[in-house]
Amino acid sequence: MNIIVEDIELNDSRFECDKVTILPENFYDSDDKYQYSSTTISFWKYAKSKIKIDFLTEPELLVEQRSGEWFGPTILLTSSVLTQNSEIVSIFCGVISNYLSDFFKSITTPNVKLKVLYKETKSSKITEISYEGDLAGMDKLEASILKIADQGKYIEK
Amino acid sequence: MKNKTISFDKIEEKFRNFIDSCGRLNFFTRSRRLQEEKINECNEFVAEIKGYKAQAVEKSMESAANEFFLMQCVVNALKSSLSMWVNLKNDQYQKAWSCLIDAQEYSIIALKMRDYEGLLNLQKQLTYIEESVFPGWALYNSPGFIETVGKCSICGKKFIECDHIENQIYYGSLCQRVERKVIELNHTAVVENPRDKRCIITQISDDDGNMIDYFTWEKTGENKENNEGVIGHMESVLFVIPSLDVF
Repeated sequence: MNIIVEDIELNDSRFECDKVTILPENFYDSDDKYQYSSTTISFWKYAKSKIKIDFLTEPELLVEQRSGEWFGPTILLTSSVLTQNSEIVSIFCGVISNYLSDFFKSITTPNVKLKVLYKETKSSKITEISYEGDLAGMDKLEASILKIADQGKYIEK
Repeated sequence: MKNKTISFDKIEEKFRNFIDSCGRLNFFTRSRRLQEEKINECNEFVAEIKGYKAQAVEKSMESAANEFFLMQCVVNALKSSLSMWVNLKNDQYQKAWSCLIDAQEYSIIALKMRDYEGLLNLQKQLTYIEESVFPGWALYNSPGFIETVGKCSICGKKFIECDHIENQIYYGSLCQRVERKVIELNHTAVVENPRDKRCIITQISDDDGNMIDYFTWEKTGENKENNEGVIGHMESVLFVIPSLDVF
């Protein structure tokens, strides 16, 4: 299991979202045609009955990678989403675990690769958390996101 | 003409007897003639099961349709396994390998619906065959490409517009994205753990540039020059269009 945390600067109004948002893989390059991970549409269909989640734009092109890993979506979480629901990180990680257990029923669950971008509202600071590992490590991803969110005091008083 | 009726229990009994008869032939030493005959019977039996499934779908009986789909996948798994033995006997090793992977994938889909001892045993048998009959590959190909979203195999709508989820079973069919257009093949990687085990290395070169068939280890007769900086050559399967009978 491997978690990499990096700060990135993206001063972009596209990322002022009030719900969990699925980003295209090439989100940093707005000139290009957006390309989403091929797993994201099914994941979105599964997750939308459990959490408020949407795409940045409607997917038209998908990136299909035919290795055994599950290349999950790139997710944007903002501090305002956490303000509305402080349990959202835990629920989101649970949704991913349940989806993959269901999806890979009868075969060994593969390695999971996904990214979560955490953005403080009214700030250009974005923290990118890249996760690579098995399902058992999802609680570590949850802890990493919460640690970063707590540093920014996401609950605006 | 009077329609004949048959109960689900009778169909299930016929299915159990049929897969037992397939299992008895699912060994290398069994006669090729008998195996080929059984493969033909499998095709006929799958057509019969699909007929029952269509009736269940027409009557909106999803669980019955899924039971028939389970039978369809198990018979197809056994058919693929028998085809593997026939291909091995015909020295068609790459085809045999593809049949083995087909059989494994059918058993995985069947296990999504229900696991029972016979199916788990078949899955184990297929793993043993993979490990003992074939040479084994440390690396496989894994291409990456940009493609369109495509349509849903269940309802025919644009895949973004319906609620069906890929790899789930609805009314006896596996949901897949279909009519996808590849826009750009942007890379290929060599990986230990591929999505599709059919994407194998089929030939490698020795130190003198002689190409060697990876299945037989025989020289193919082709020689490729080892230019400076080139470690060796290989031929491999990059991508296979999925063709499992899952509808």
